[in-house]
Amino acid sequence: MSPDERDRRAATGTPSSVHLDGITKRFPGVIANDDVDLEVERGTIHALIGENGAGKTTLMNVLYGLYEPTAGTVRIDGEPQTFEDPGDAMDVGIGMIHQHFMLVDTMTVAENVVLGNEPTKWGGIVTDRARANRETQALADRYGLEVEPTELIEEISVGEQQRVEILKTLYRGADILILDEPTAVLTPQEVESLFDILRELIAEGKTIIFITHKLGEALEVADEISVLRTGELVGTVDAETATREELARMMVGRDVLLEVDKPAASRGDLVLDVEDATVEDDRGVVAADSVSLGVHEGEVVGIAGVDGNGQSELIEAITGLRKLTSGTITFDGRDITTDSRRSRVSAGMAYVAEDRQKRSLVMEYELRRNGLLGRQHLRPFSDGRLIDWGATADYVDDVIEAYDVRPTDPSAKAHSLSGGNQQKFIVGREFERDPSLVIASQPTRGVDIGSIEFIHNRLLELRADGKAVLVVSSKLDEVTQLSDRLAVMYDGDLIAVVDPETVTENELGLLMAGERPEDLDLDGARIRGTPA
Amino acid sequence: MQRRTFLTTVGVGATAGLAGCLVGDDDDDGNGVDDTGNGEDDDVDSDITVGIIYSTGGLGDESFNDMAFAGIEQAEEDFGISYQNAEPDEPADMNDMQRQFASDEDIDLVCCIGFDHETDLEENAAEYDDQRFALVDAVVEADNVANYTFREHEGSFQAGHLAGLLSTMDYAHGAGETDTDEARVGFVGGEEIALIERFEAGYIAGAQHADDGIETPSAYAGSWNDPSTGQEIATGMYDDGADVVFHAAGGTGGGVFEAAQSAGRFAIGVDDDQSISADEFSDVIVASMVKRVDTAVYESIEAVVNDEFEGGMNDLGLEDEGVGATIGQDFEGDLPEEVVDALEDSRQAIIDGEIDVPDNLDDL
Amino acid sequence: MTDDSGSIRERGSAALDRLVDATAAERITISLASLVFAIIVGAVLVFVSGFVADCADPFIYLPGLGYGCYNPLEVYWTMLTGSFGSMTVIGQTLLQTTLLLFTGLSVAVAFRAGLFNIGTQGQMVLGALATALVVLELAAYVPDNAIGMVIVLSTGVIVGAIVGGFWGMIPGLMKAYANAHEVITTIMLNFVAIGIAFWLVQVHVGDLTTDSVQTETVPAVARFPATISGSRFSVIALIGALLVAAGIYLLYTRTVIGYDLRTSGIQETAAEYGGVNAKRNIVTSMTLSGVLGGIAGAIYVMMVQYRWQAGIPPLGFDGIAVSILAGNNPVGVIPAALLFGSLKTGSVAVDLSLGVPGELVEVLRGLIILFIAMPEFFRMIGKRFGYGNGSVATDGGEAQ
Repeated sequence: MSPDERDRRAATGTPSSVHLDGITKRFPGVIANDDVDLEVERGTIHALIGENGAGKTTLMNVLYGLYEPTAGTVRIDGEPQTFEDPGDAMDVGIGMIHQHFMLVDTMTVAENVVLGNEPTKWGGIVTDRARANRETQALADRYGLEVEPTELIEEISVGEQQRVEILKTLYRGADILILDEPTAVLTPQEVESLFDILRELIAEGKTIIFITHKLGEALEVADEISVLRTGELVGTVDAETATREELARMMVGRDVLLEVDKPAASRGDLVLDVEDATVEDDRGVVAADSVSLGVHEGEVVGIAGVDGNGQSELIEAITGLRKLTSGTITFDGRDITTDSRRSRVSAGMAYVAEDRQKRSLVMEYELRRNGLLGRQHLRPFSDGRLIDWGATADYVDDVIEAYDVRPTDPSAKAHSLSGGNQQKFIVGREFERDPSLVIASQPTRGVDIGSIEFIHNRLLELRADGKAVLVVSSKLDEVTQLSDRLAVMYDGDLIAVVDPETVTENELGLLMAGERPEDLDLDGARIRGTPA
Repeated sequence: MQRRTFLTTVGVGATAGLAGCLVGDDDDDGNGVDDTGNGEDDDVDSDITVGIIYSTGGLGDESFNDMAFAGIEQAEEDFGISYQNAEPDEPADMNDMQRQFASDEDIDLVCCIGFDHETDLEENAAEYDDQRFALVDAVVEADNVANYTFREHEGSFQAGHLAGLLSTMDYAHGAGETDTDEARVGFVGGEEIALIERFEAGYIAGAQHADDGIETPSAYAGSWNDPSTGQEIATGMYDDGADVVFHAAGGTGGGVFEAAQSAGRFAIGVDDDQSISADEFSDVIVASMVKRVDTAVYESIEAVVNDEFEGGMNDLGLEDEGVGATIGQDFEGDLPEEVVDALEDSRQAIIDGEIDVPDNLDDL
Repeated sequence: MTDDSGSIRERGSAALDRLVDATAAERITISLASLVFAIIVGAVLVFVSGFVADCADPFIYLPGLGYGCYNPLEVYWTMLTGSFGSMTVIGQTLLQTTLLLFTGLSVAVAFRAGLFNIGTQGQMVLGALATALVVLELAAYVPDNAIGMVIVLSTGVIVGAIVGGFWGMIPGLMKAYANAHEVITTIMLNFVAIGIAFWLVQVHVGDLTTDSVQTETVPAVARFPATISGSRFSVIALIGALLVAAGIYLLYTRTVIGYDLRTSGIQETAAEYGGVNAKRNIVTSMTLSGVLGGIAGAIYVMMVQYRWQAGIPPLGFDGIAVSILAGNNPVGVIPAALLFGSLKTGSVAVDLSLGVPGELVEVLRGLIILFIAMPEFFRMIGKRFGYGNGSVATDGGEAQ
């Protein structure tokens, strides 16, 4: 179908843009999608929600031509389609922004955006970089997606990479956009501007399918919401009338406690004391500048901030993965500023890293081998030389059972688990080692709603047990609900420590966007100034 | 007879050359092997079996190994012997192959082609002292080893003499012509080893025999199998005014011929008549310094057939027709009479001992 | 699993999944089936080529086709008897096997740790040269008896290991600290190693009385005592190789050091997270790989060639094939090396005693290796790109 014809159909208001009819997708031993019917009207935003493993991404991969359905048909604007590969899907105007970025690290933003559709000069021989940069910039400006076209992907933050992904699909002129968890890495303000973009796009007649865990977002931006559970469509509801509780129940299949029930803190001794810590990023630029922060026994301290404002580097410095330029770190009363990562782990520091596929798991290892990671030198896992596989297997079995990791087979490779299950495994591994300090960076990123509840409860149990907990999250509701004190980082500075009970989401958003606390109408009492 | 051998083509190597060798059973002019084996040994159906182990270039090299093969084929034709071939991939394989043949009761003679056989043969000849061996291009002193070496410097002297004569005169034929501005001839070697320096020394001496003041640049490519380096070196030499370049560089020499064609100058080949084995360059290959490995192989077999085998040295020079400068097929009969005569004179002078050809660069 | 991001084509993906998840027993069955298939294809090839070739006494005449020169059964029989038919050839087969064990393990050690050491050849060549030079010197100072032999042989192996290890350490350092990909650097360092060795021997340290580029021949005290008459094979070297294979197996399955080495090579960032100095371990893995390559060179000099000579056989490259065939499992390297060793010896026999051209024998050898290695190769590729659901116990090498 030509673009002209698509426009004509859009103009004449063909009612249904995407029509999935009885889609079934089987993998050896698993039914990922079971007879799913889905109808998305042109010019609407359709949210697809469900827990990890519910089959959302598989369904969209069928629509996007990555998978061939075992049964069922895909119709676009009423026409039955058979997609051999994503190229075919793109030909009829379907574009997908994946959860895992598909960007070339060593190329620039603009090169990635135009990849496969490069503007050329000199008779098509040479990529016209200037034009690629210009067009990328124009597209970015138009949709308010802030990127620098000439920067390398490997040098920009995860959040910026997400924006490049969106730009890439827009550049290809997609009519039907599928977004897989697009807001996971964005600030509330960025999320709002993304939603503005989405609204603008549907006004132009484009169609959006939006995969998310976040009920609030689905309710806010979508016209209709479809819920998948264990491969089946539970139902499609009108976003106008649906409630969070109703959706959560549809997703999980039972009632879910959405608010964290947090008992009063009983703060003990200072466990972690960071003083004037200055940390540089990989390029040697100061990422965290003279940050001071303390975490006590029985206390959860949260750090909020947009990705790339120095939280990652600060956490890596605390956990021993990055050197401090200046400042000191004291842990359980001992100066550990120059201690190795290994000795920090041995001293009882647990760490759930932000990028689980890079840091916290060896993707090629089975869960059993991953269960050892970080404590391979310590009893009971080894005597320092020989590994005790029996003790390791016991520990891994316990984690798998207690944290409901699926599949339950300890010889499953880490890469074969869904993101949520990977995260549950890591959280379990780190939490169950009786740490005195738990540092959790984005502890629930990519995790389904039932597991989020579980992880939050475990964090609060650790707090109740008198552990010190430091949580970094870009999800504002998460840090505000969990934390006893909430630090906000902007551009390498820890600009405020606020009381999460009283601060509003709007105020937090402004702080994260760089407003100084003194410029806000913040009540002095709500700023707990002294970091320790 | 002697003169005829010098002037005509020697058909060895692959394709045309080899065919000529096989067909040329009777008194086909100019085939040295035929001349040697002609007559008395015809139609003898010997039950001799020969095991032959080549050097690492293997069969199909259009040069050294194919020459050896031609010799053994001729012996098969003349004496009805049978043979087994062994082609080592690496020098490391030679030891096993020598031992396998040596211990084989059916085999009466083991021919080892190339100097890489030397060290292993020293041990194996002693261990298998009832087996007979022939060694080409190196020497193992043992009663059961017949060694065949070549006086390459004598043949190279002839090549140098020819090159020197051409460089000092106006001559154009085929795809080449000389540049009379200055007398200059070049040499390109493969690896810088004593054997190849023998070529170089003889060649330079020959060129100086033609003209005392001649320039004789020489260079080594460092490999037997690097035509592009050979081409680069030779092109440089031609650019500097060299009229003829002689190579003793195995496969590297192909690049020398290409350079000669591009520059419109002449080149001299090596080992066999390369105007035949590399006939796409026959319009610039004015001559080749042939090294009659086929003769060596043939003679060693003949000795066994006639029950005359004995160990020791066989140093083949111009006199024995073991080496010589053979005019390229396109140039045969076209060279000026005075050049041909001068070459014949120097050849005779070397045989007669009137010219002492140096076999190393220090004696130049 | 269902939310897994997808791949290109379904059917290929399913096949790859299947292959990646195959059990050890299934994989052995696949290998044997491949062997049979390769033999059949090879037989047809040999038979057909026989009709194109000319020969004095053809073994078969088919009306309309002409005379067939080569009898495939005879070729395979010669291959078999040529590699196992007598004590001497068994010795030759085991000699090749021993060398291939060391080079195969050298490659496997690195592969196992996620590093592609293509440089075993260069490590072997330099290790061999160092061994040759040192034992030539040393032999003059030791008594010409068993004690002297123990001293010289063990010194020779240690010297080969040190020099090979040093040569392996260089790409390790370049990978860890300069982010230079080890495939490129090890390939290039092969050329450097071979060039350096050639130049040294030709110009400085070689036997300058011969035209061959080689060192002096090492004396009897620097030679592994032959176990089988007619062959230079020494069972001492084979036992050493088997012990190394077992040691490496245990290193990677049982020890903390092995775990750290592997994690560092496979996923550097995760190793750092696990409290491991990943960069140092990458260097260690490559050094260890080089050590084994260097030992292969030492054994080559003291058991096979008795000198260093330009044109060391490509055992280092064969080691890559051996390792891949073995699924990079140190124990699997043992049968893989035996297969390669017997094919090598057997094909020499075919080459020498039958009129079949050496090239055709090479083709047969190549076919067998190709057919057996291909499923394993696809399995590795599949694994690398994340196929399989990993829920089935995998490599025999990953016990526990």
